[in-house]
Amino acid sequence: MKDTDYTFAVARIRSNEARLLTSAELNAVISAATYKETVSRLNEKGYEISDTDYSPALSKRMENLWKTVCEVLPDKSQFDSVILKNDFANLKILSKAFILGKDPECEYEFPSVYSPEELKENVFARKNSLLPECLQHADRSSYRILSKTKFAQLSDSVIDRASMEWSIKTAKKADNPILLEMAEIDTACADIKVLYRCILTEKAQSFMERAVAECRAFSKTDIIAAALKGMDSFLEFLSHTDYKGAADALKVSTTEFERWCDNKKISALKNTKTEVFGISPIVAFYYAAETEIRNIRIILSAKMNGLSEETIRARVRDSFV
Amino acid sequence: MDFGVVFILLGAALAAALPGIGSAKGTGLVGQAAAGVVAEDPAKFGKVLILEVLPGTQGLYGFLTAILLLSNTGIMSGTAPEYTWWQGLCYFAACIPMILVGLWSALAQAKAAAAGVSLVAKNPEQSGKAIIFAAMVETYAVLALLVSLLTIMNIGKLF
Repeated sequence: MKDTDYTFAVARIRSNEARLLTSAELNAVISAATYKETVSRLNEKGYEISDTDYSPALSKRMENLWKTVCEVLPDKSQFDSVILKNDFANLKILSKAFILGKDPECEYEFPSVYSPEELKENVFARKNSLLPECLQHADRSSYRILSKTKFAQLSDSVIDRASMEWSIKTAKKADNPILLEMAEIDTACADIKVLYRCILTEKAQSFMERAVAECRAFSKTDIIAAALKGMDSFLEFLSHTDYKGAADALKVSTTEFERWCDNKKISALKNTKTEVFGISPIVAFYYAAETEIRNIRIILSAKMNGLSEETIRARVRDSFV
Repeated sequence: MDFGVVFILLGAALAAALPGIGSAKGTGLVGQAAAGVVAEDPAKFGKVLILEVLPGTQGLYGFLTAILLLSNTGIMSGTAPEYTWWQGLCYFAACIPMILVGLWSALAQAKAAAAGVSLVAKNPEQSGKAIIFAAMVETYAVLALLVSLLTIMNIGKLF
């Protein structure tokens, strides 16, 4: 598709972007004294959060976000690389539920490219060939691992790796630099996270090989070699890559690392602010709005549990606006 | 019979057609952006309408050039003398600034105006600046129009 085919979509998205919370507005929300006051400030900005449970309102917000994106996109499949990870997350849920012989207990990830109900039907009937092509291999591997070894962690890692590899593949197919950049950041962050856990739990090289996906940020062989030498060597390796910030964040905590990953994406997306045509502004808006919802969830959860303003600020992601 | 009139008619046809195509494509593009904004906020219709109109002017300039050419050469009134091929070519050359600049400036202005629509979508109070950015492109269409018109009006003195 030509970039000018997105003219209507970008203009609509820019209008919606004006409704996102600015850093100042987010700060005002964080500085609210009580949970009730926080809810009240958010409701003034268009959220419809009840005083007792914030989850339904945030889920609704996410649904509306996806609805807006679907309405404006001339071709929804262009967005597959952004949401494909949710299909793999749903596959993880379904694989475990199938092995346990019961219905999935947790909610499916939303939005997804494929209907979770259809996935469930095929996963539970072991009709692997009827699954979407991208999920078939991951489903087979996961089923083999879970049925033979019940090693859920390895099964999850194999699915996560497939998720990252397919995201990059789909982004390359969409031929858009920002989609590819997002997929690459997601993959690099997932690799770092899985290796960090591998080091802590002293996993073998074979596990690392199966869990880590290729990305352009660093060589898979080199990062695994560094991880096998221990945490210091791993963090030292990262400090010589574009992911130096990730190493610094991991020294603080995994929560800080996750925050850093989200901020890296938001920072990369800020370059799209000057773009008028093409899918990039829509991708940026989706991530920005998703991050805002995540921030609101963090703030409300913290306020409900009486956490300090300082703690909340340390967890909240950067604002796109 | 000489072929001068063919060049004159070709000049008039292209002066009307190419800037017209540019304007049609341009207003269409900005119209899409404007519709996107109005879909979210109908109150911004007035502000985005001005931006949509801007790339439409090149089509009018092209039309004006064609009419003036047909009128000055007597084709419109049916009193056209016989033009030699090089006289016709001179008239055609007079139309070139409007033909080329009209087409390209309309397309370039449309992009600037569509960007302006996005600016209005986010900051409605900046609509004046958005109009100025897009209107800057108009300068070159106006210059091309002036060159084409002045040449058409005075070229007869050469023959």
